[in-house]
Amino acid sequence: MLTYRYYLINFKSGFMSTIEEKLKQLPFLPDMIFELQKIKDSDECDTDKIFKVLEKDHFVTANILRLSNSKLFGFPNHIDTFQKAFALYGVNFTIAFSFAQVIQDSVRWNFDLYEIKTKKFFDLAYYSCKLMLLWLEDELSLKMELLFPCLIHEIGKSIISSSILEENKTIFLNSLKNNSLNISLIEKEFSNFSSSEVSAMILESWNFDKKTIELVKNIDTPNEKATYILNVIKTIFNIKSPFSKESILLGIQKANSYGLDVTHLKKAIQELNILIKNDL
Amino acid sequence: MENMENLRILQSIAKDFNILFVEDSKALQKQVVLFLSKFFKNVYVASDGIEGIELYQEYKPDLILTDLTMPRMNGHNMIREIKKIDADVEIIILSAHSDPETLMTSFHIGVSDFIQKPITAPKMINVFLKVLSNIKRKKEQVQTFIKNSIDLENEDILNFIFESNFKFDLINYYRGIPIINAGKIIKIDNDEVIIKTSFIQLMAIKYEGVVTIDSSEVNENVFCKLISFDMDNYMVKLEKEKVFFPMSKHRNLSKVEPDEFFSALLIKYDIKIPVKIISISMKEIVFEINDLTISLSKHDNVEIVLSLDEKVLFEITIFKKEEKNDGFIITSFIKSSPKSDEYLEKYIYKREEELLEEFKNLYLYN
Repeated sequence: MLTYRYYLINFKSGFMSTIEEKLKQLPFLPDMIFELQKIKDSDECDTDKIFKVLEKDHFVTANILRLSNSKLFGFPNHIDTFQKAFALYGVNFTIAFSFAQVIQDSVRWNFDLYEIKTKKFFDLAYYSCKLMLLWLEDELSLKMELLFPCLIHEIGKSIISSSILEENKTIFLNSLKNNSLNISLIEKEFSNFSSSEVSAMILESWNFDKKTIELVKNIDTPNEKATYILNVIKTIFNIKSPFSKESILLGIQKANSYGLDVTHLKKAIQELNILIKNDL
Repeated sequence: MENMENLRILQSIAKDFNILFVEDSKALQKQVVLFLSKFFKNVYVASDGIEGIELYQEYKPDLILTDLTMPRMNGHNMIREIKKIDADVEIIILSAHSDPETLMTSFHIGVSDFIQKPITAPKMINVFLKVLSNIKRKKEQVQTFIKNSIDLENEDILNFIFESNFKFDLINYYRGIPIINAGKIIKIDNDEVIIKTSFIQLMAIKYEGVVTIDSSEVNENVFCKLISFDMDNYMVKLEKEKVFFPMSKHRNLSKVEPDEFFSALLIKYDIKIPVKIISISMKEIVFEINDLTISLSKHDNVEIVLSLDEKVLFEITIFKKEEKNDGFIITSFIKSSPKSDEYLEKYIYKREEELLEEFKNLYLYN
């Protein structure tokens, strides 16, 4: 009789090649992403050029406009044109959300194994991003750096979800149910990789910048402030029990152990709680 | 009467062209831009020769109207530099100097025509008509030449894109809104081609059953019909249907279909009748008219009231009239004004947001 461990050994050994195969299957991203990255990283970041590139994509403009009138990321007054939204959000915010949205629309994501629909998955990413923004209220440069990773660091779950063999699915699901605050550990046990590491592989296959890739890759093995913050956010918004009493407690505990600003985090959690209640 | 006729002809020709206006006097700039904006598709404005060259390089306008005496770089030097970039570009000079030496220098460096200051509307209209007709004729000749050569090579166009490794976009529309993403040819076999692209584009192809391949490296687009999908690999198998010359993809030309409750009222000689709006862009309104109390002909100027956030009146000119069932489908051009532009822009953004959300819910999240 085949044991659970036998399944896992077989599964792990074949997983890297399955990931490689899945990465090869991914569609490529539009040139717009790299065009924007280039303009943004140039010495004189020309906002007019960025605007013109973004304006061409109707999905991008519609999404930014929707955000600017949303309860989560909106402004006090109604925003009726992309120009106004772009001017209010600024380059970094607009680009981070545009990149995330292009990624969201380019791939047929599948999070079935985590029992979550694609729309809900990305909604959670938006909530976690809002928590980060509220928490780091005064640290403008850091929060801008973490925006994009915060929105996409869990996408690797799609590849894990579609790569796990049919016969292992029940065991995987049960493990998630029994240990919803340690999803990364379960992912590693089954596949050798956490979803953040797989997300980093996806970003690498799309030629994203090294800094972003490293940030995402190290979320589960944090080693400096940026990854500590992402790790806490990931804990609080874990996919199986997001923003639950338990996940919040564990997040605060981790923030404390990393020496992060817990007072601001608690305040941000309270503010987000009110926003979520109003948003539903 | 002749002036009015010329005005009308200029309106119909100039709407397809972009113009660069180079002038250091802010007062004259304001006055002339106001005039040019009524006719041309886009008006770019520079205050000296250096800025003129920069704008020319960025936008490649069809026509340049320039002053000669300007700070930093004068008109003649700017023209020399621009002619190095494109020897065929048409340039009209605008100057107080009408001495033979200035004119000789101007024509020697390739200026097409001359408007003497003080400028008047009839002077500008006459010169623009002459120069634009010339550009239009040249463009038509080039198009005919390209079309003839392409007809011979039609069979090979997809191969040409594939073998040259040219980048290309796939274009679809969802209720008027363009959905455009990059594609890559994986395999080609006569008229059948397998292309890899993004999930959202595959869904747009599924919605339309067809797709247009557009490479900036070739003049023509290829229209293909859907054969099958390989969703796991983000691939689609297409069959080439026809090759054609593309329309502009400028945001101003992108249309949206209003929702079913959208109402509109057409007004001519105090007669008001409801019409059904088919699509709206920043430049045109297409509507269906079944009540024939009002007779409409090409070039008629009428008014239309659209129920946007509030009721807004637009002046429109009838451009095309096609018979359909018991009525007509009318394509009309909107007479642009800052106020109408503002209303339309807001409405189009709002409607795009609704339609794209609808598309996502139907095709991406299901």
